[in-house]
Amino acid sequence: MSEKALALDFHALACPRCEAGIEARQQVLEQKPLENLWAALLPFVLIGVASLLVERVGKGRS
Amino acid sequence: MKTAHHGAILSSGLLLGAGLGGFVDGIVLHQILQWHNLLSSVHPPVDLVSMKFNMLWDGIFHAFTWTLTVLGLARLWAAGKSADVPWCTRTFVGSLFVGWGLFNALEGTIDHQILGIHHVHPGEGELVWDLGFIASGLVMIGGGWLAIRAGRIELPVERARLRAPRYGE
Repeated sequence: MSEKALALDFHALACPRCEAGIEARQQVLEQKPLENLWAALLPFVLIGVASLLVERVGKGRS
Repeated sequence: MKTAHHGAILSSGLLLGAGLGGFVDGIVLHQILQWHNLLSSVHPPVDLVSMKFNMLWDGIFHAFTWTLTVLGLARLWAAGKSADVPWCTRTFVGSLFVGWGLFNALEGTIDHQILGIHHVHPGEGELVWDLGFIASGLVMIGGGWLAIRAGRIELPVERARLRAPRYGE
């Protein structure tokens, strides 16, 4: 594939208005993430809980 | 006599440190250096669709770091309005480092080691990079803890600096 054809192909895939681009976006949304993917965001939840505990302990020990 | 409590300043620093540390990870490692994405070990970004898929999950990752930062700002604002919270720089900076260190240690343990969804620098020697990332978090937690302790020793002086409630408070 020539460089020009590759660039056109990439444009079609990336463009939010071209049909191929819309289809690519749909494929992204349809991809099933891992079942335990939300566990990847667990560090944020744990830090939120830790900050609540720190605030309570900090108040209690005043 | 007023009593001082560090709780609010500690929790705000912890949240802000974790949020800003998350942004360093996302901006430097995901975007500038492009070493990894949130799911790059399970959905390698080898074509446009998988790149966009990783971009989507990097966005969700950034949304969570943004949320921590906003919560930290809200706590800091509340601490600033409370007359019984000592405005101690060492305590605040120490808690920022504890927050950032906690982020690295938890993210490094859960995402890199337990789930294996990405590695700091995939390829040869990735375990060394991963362990170094967790170690950097533990060092920051230790350093931050020492700064917080130093802030507590300073408390008698800081207590004198507790500001009087402003007009209307």
